[in-house]
Amino acid sequence: MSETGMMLQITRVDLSYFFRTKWLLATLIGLNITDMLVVGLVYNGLMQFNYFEFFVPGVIVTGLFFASFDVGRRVHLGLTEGVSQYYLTLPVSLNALVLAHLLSAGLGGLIYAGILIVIASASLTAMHLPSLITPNTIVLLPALFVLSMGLAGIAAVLNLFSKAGDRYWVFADGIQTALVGLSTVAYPLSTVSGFFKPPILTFIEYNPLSQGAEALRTVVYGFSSSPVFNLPALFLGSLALLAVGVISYRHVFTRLRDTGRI
Amino acid sequence: MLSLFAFDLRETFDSVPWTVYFWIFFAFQYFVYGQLVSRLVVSLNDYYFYYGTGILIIMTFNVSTWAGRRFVEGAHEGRLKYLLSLPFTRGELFLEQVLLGLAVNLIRIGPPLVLILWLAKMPPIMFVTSVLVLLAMSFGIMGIMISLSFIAFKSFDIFSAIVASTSAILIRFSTILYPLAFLPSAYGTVARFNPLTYGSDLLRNALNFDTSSLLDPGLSAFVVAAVGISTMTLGMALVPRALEGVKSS
Repeated sequence: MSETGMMLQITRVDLSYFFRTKWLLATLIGLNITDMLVVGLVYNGLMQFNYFEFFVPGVIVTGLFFASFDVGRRVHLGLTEGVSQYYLTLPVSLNALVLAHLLSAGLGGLIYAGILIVIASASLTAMHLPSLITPNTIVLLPALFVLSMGLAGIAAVLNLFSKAGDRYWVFADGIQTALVGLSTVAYPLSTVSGFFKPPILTFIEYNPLSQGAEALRTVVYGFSSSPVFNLPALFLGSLALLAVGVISYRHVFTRLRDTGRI
Repeated sequence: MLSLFAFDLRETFDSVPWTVYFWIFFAFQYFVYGQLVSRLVVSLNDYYFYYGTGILIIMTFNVSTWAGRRFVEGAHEGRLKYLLSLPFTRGELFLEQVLLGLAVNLIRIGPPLVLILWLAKMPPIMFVTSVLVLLAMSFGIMGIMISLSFIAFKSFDIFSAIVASTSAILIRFSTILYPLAFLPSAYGTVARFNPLTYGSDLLRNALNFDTSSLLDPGLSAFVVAAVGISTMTLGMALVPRALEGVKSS
């Protein structure tokens, strides 16, 4: 088998771990669907603007983030249970192994977000609101794929610093909570700007999750609550994170290959 | 039994990062997310305080589900076999697990509760009543989780999936984050069959929150007590039998 074939095989195996982990899928689907169809709808009645319409793209991007970020859990388990050590014995280069993991993260995030988009569109159509499935959304899919791979780069940094034990799970939970909370996923920038000052406000504006949510809102509804949103920024931010992910995973696997330790 | 209790408690708090994370999670949810969302909510007075008490209930729920999961994890990792060889009854073992859950809950929820009450300028007696309500809720949730553990003895993966999806549904279809009056009627009907709705409203009643948006405190107290007693009784009846068939993975 060629190296590319081997890399795609590892990608497929890694991706299938994600979709075969029942508790994880139950958690993600349970959280995202109830967030959309219960929290979004109820808050809609408590607020002065159409919160449901605003919140749904945010939930989809959060789902993409969690699904893509799961690569960190898989690599962490792979490192502690010896799967990564096995991968290193295969005739595949370090770069191909790194790319296989990041590719599976990107695909996992995109597929999962795609499922959420279909469910959300069905709900929005039933409520006589614009569906999320539009030609513009399909054009946006490559950007979401790059975003998904970029977000996996953050998980790679955690793998680099967490080593064995509990620390990875704590860091992962903390990063997820902070990144979602410090974004415009759940509240518009006008609300955030009354509460935070730069540099935190700047971070919120350029947070990849804010950019992803604003991208979806812009292509579907034609508006964005974040005036700084633009597609090049989304691409550049994601590619920068992806580069950090490649460097981190290269370091993790090099250390494992050379020293045999995590 | 008390030695085991002390050992388990020490082991639980050995993991400093988790304990600290738990409080950081609360601080973030309360001081950032809660602040921002409460600025958007216009139909309810003092939503920030409402949200703060909701976070406490979610934390209680998480600790209680952790207690149930820990019990079944112990079974699958072979720890339970060792515990069953110790000179105490299965009822005492069950009681130890419940006490551990309550103690961990109290330690983790205590500081955030004090902070919320202090910020809301509540008298100290409120702390006692709030703790009683939260522990009663914790008792009921642990009962549900431990009763569900018989599923875990067949498949831990399916148990985890059921607990995860049930948790999301129970929290969303309740009055933890919003009052019953603001739920669409179909959701409101589901919420009325959810024990967390009664626990949440009972806690807010104990804290003198605007009672017009809450369920009757007598009914809430009855439901919370009934759920706690019945699920614990069910757990005590089911678990000792289920223990016989546990295989270590």
